[in-house]
Amino acid sequence: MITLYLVRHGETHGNVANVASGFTDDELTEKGRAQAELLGQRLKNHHFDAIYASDLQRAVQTAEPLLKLRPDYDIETTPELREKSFGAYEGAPWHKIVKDFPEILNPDVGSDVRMPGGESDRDHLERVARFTNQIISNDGEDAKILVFSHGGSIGAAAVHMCGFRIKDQWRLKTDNTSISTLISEPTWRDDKWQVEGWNDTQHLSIAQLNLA
Amino acid sequence: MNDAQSVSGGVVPDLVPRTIILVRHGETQGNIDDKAQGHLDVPLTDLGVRQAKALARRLADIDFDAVYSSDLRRAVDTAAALIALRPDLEIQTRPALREVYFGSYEDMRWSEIREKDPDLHQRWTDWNTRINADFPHGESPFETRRRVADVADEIVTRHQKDNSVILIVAHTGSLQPLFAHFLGLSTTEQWRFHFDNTSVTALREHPFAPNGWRADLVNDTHHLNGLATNG
Repeated sequence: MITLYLVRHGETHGNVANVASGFTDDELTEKGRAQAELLGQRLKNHHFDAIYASDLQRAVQTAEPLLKLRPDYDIETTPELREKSFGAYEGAPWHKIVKDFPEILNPDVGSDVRMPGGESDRDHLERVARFTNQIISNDGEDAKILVFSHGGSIGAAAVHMCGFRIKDQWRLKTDNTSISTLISEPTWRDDKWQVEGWNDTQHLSIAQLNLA
Repeated sequence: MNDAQSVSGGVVPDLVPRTIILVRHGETQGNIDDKAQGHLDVPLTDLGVRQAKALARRLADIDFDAVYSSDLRRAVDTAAALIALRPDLEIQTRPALREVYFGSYEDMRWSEIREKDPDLHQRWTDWNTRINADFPHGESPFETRRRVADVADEIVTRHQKDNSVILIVAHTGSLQPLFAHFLGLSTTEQWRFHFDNTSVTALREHPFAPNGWRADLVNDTHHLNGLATNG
């Protein structure tokens, strides 16, 4: 069985400000670093055959606590897993994007809308799909693969592997440091990828209970 | 997108989202034996009862506005465990939330069905044709989706209040179309979602998209950590 564990980065300054961060190389906040620590504690006893990350700092910083706890693990970073580029609208508040590009809300055309100099959802999907295909073939029939990336890139990976319609991507929410899991059984046909779980943040709720 | 409430920035009216929690029943002997249970009315195993109790502890702080369940015993018993300490709530049963009706093949192992009716089994196994796999004297998943969609619409229409939290306990074969119906997913997309015994799946209305539901959580079973499982 191939298992893909897709982790979204911890909270960033851009998340707090509620602005679009695509290629913007934003860093984790204090809270984001604490989330990454809890994630590292949660994952430290798990076996992974390969670990990949977007080369943006917020993804790499999210992986760091795990890598400190498990110095035996290597990580490969790549620009292919980056979030969608918002071009000239990098750092723009979401409400401005919706105001200037209302068509992004239209499921029939929204996936093809590009901000000037940026990528559409479809461009982004093609990039993430290419890399995901590559890691699946690299790491064999029976592999547990951990990937640190971004909300949009996780949604794109699910759309690609499970054959969802691109317009359905927003239907699956990903919170900071959440784990979403896709599986493929070797006995299934090639296209049989399944969502084993989505947006699991158990490591964060434990912390909340302890604080309460 | 992030916090959609501020995303809309007044472009569309902000909604106060409702939440639907979907739960699959606890383990049954038929689950262990890999049988087509369908409308067969079987009890939970001992483990199934413990799974339901573990889930009850997990959901204890959630203030449900209503609880719906399939009328089959494995679902009702799971729902009853979840509200055991909540005398203010009662289970509203809906036969339309039942599992796919497997007709003549109920209570058979999937391996036996494959031998007896390889053609139907092939249509069922292929996710592109499963929706029309019509079980003799039973139904096809297409028919299941239609009845499930009707009851889903009935339930959300009854609970319009802001912030309502609605619990629905059902079966894999009814949760997949229920999930897909709320999210607007196609009949081929619905097979891609896995529901383990007593798993929790949370849907929330997207404040940005009227009548648009989004999955906040799918197939979470962390309440079972430490409970023995079969296999």
